[in-house]
Amino acid sequence: MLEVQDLHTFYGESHVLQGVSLSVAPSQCVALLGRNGAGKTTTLRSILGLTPARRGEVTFKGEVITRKPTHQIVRLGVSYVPEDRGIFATVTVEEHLAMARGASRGRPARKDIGYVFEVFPRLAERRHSLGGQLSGGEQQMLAIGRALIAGPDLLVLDEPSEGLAPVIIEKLEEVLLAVKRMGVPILIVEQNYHLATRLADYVYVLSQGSVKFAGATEALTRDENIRRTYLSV
Amino acid sequence: MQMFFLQFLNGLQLSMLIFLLAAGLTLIFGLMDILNLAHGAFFTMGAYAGWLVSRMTGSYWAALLIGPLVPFALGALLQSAVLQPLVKRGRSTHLDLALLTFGLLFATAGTVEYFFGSSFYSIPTPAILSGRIAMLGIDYPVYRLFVIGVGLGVALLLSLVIDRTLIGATLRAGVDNREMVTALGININVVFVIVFGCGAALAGFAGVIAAPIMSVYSQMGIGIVVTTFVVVVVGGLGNLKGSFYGALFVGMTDTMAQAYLPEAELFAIYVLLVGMMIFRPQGLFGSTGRVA
Repeated sequence: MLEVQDLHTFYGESHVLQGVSLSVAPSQCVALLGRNGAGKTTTLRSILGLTPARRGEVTFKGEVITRKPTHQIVRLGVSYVPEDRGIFATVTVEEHLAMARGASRGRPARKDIGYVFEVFPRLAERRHSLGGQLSGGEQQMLAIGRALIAGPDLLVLDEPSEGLAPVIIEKLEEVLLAVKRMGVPILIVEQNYHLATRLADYVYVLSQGSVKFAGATEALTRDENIRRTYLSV
Repeated sequence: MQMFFLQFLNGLQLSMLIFLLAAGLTLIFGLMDILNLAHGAFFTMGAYAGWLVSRMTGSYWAALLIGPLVPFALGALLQSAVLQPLVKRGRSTHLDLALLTFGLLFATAGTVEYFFGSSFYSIPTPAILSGRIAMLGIDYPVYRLFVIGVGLGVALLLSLVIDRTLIGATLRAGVDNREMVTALGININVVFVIVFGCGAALAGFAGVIAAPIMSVYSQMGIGIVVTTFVVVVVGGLGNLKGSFYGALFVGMTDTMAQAYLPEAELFAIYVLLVGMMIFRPQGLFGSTGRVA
């Protein structure tokens, strides 16, 4: 589904990604773990074309997308939930969903706004509220609902549990498990080790811009050495 | 009292004219972060295009409809063929773009003078809007009331489009977080080109509207773009509501100063500008976040 080959990405002169390779298979949930500054967010941004890689190649559904502009990559079926959730302060809940739906015209699995309201009934109650008036949990629901509306072929999530209360994280986990059961592949960056390992089938551990561990989730949970060195859990 | 009422209407008329320019300028800045000093050039182009159409067809209404198409096309072209490539090459700081568009403003005046000479032209007022109307003890030109009405109508229409439609939601979203708009699969560059074209068209529309009361001449866009900048700074950069109230504030100040304090006429609005920069640099309606 998604193949990332030897990605090198720079912020100015600083060499942030130093040859990251990873892949996401159909229906698979892949987690990207590592400490702050390991290059997790940059990896996602390079895949989305937001911070284009200087070297390396990204292939999605057999098509090379490394040099494509972000909006074209998204239209191929990659939905993205950024770390800050990317909710627009002056746009209503309903408009957020309608915009995303409008932008995914022509996608066969495109959902209705009602679908998102079914998954997150709280959003239906707040449909006329502005993004800036939502709580952190509501913003995260909206960000995920907005990402799902396109009927994506790959869901890319950056730290969805960050800053959320434990009850909300439980709800988030339920929703993400449901998305996974529908067969939508997920690439997730997550600081919450326990959430990540409960969701993911396969794990990459990043440190200083390169992959230090790649393996099935069970292999990571057994490998105390890797966990202690790169994750401090 | 009658004198004041007359000046009040004159101020309102000037305000609405400046608003038509300020609306486009502020939207372009809010969305694209481009300080477009060439905005005055579109005012000039609209006026000349309208003048040509009115001379060929004899119709004011044809001028009003067709005139703005020229600045629309040239504005869209400027954004897509000149400004966007500059962003890609990393030459798009505020200073880069201000210098470039500043040059374009004067280049346009020169080009217009080359083709049309330095004469002053005018578009005749259409018969239906000619004459004066008696109200509250004064005779006021119908055409100036028409300008006020058009300005208010455009303000209402723009605010409805921005607050109530999906296009408006996309603009608000773009002002807030451009990157996320592209991450929804929307080609923001196309949005930019259209908004730039529409802003230029509004300026050109203002040029045609102004033609029966102000002269059409090569430098007409230079003075008004300065006033327009004062408006968007007073109202808050990137803020449509701010540009409306800012236009009222500046238009009234300018007109009242001319009427009651003629010594201050030349600098009254700049006092307003400097005072605003010192005491409320974000403008009347600018807060931490900009809202189109």
